[in-house]
Amino acid sequence: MTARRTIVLAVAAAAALVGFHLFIRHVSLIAFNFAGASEVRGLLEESSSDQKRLARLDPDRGNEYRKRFDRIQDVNRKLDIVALNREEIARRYEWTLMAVVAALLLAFIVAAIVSGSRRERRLAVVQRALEALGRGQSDIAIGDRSRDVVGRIAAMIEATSREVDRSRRRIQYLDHLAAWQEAARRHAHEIRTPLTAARLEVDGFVRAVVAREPSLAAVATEAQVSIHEELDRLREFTRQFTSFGRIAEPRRKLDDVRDALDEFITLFSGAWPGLTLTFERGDCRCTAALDRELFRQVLVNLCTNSSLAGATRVWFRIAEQRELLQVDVADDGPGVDPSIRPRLFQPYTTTRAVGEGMGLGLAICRKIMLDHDGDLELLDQGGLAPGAAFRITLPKAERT
Amino acid sequence: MTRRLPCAALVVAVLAPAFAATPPAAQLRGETLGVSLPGGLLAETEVRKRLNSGLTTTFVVVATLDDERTSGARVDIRFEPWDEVYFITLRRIGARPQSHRAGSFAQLETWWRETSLPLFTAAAETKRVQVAVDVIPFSAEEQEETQRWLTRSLGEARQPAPPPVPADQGPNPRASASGSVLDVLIGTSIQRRPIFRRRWQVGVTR
Repeated sequence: MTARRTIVLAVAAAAALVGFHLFIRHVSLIAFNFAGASEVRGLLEESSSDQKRLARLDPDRGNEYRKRFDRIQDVNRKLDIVALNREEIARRYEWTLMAVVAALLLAFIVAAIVSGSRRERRLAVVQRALEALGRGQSDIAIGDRSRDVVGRIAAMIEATSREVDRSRRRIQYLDHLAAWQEAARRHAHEIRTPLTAARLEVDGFVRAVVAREPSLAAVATEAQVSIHEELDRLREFTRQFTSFGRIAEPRRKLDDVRDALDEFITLFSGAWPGLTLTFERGDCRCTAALDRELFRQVLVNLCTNSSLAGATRVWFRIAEQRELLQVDVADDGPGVDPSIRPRLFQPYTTTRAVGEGMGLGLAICRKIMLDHDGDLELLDQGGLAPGAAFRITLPKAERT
Repeated sequence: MTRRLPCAALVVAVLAPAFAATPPAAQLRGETLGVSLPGGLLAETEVRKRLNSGLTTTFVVVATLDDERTSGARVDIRFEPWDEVYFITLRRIGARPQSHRAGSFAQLETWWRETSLPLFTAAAETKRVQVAVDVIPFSAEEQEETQRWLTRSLGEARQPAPPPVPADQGPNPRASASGSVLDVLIGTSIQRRPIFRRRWQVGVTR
């Protein structure tokens, strides 16, 4: 708090005190003036004289009148004393009230000064945090949990820094993924062309051999089938590369995520033998801008992974978290190998044997969800079930 | 001329009260110096009003000699309005209080004029004495009683419809218990102060 503000507060307080004093001076004597009014005193005198007269007229009740007389006189005497001290009583009353008001004002000023200096300190912290945010720092923690404006600004800065951090990691991941996609596309292209030629050449070679030497037909055909199998594996490899390299852009429209999950459960409940799908439907406003096909692809991929890992149940649960919808997908399988947890969403990360999977599925799933302005993340162990648990997040949307 | 008028008015305003009452007389009898009460003081309008109020009017007489010796006496006068008599109590330093009764104001004046207060012994050499009289409109007991009454009344004023309490049954305990600091502060603002004070410098007659 600046000295100027302190002076302004002090002047305002002094003005309030003076105003209060002027006001109280006008009202403080009113009560005493009423009590000490000559009319009241005159009536009391008259009343006590009446008692004396009554005592003379009715001597049998003399004591009663005497008592009454004494009581009236007693009050009158006290009023007399009050009237004599009227000014002093009024002054004491004024100054007592003034002291109370002054104490309250002083307390207010002290509180304002303390609160002001505390606010200045907090603002300085917020300013430093804003500067750090401007420099691109993303892990900002201010720790101001107050509910006032400064506290709310601090919370906003922290939220913004978290959002910046999330966006940065998202962009980093997408850049990384884009590089992998580009490489996959090139590899697929480079392999696909000679593959077709190789298949044609093999077929032509087998025909030529069989035409010149029919006795070699069986051997040649067996070799041809074997080479075709290897070429088919290579074609599948390139197909997966192509699929990874050309992940479709989502065509989003407002949709109820619970309905999408219901549909998925209905359609795919028997798709994986030995795997039971359970959906805790819950009660939430679950509208999001969604490409149902791609969303289903993500769910299929997660369920496939669970099934391959030996899980018997997969649980789905949906919840609201501020502006986000959270869809948790958990299974009762063995969980994710801790050694690959940090790079689980990187392409070509897999624990399966060579040739059984390329480790592109989760990378594709995460890309799909990031394209929905959401995310796919692996939850810590101990989620819905003892196995693996993933969380799909989607921004909520208002259905119009 | 215009300048002199305000000055004269000021002098009159300052001196008029002193002339209003006949100064006391100081008389030496042997070694003892007696001071008579200032005559006419009782007749002053304000004093007369106080005397008939039913409260105890106290006259504090303080006499100071040239050699700085000081002595004093106190006269308490209370009018009893039912019987219409004046009760007088005279208190002197080193003497037992003396009580008197005057059946009328004239008797009171007579007692006042004739009373001489032997204030100093061994004062044969004294030539002048300074006498001051303070008139206090009520006694300490009446002050305390009124303080309690006012405090209680202020407290009762804030109570929601308290039961009426006869004056002779003492203070309302409920009101007393709830008497706030403000009530006490205001109640104790009732103090005994002289309503006026007179001073004379009188010569000693032998």
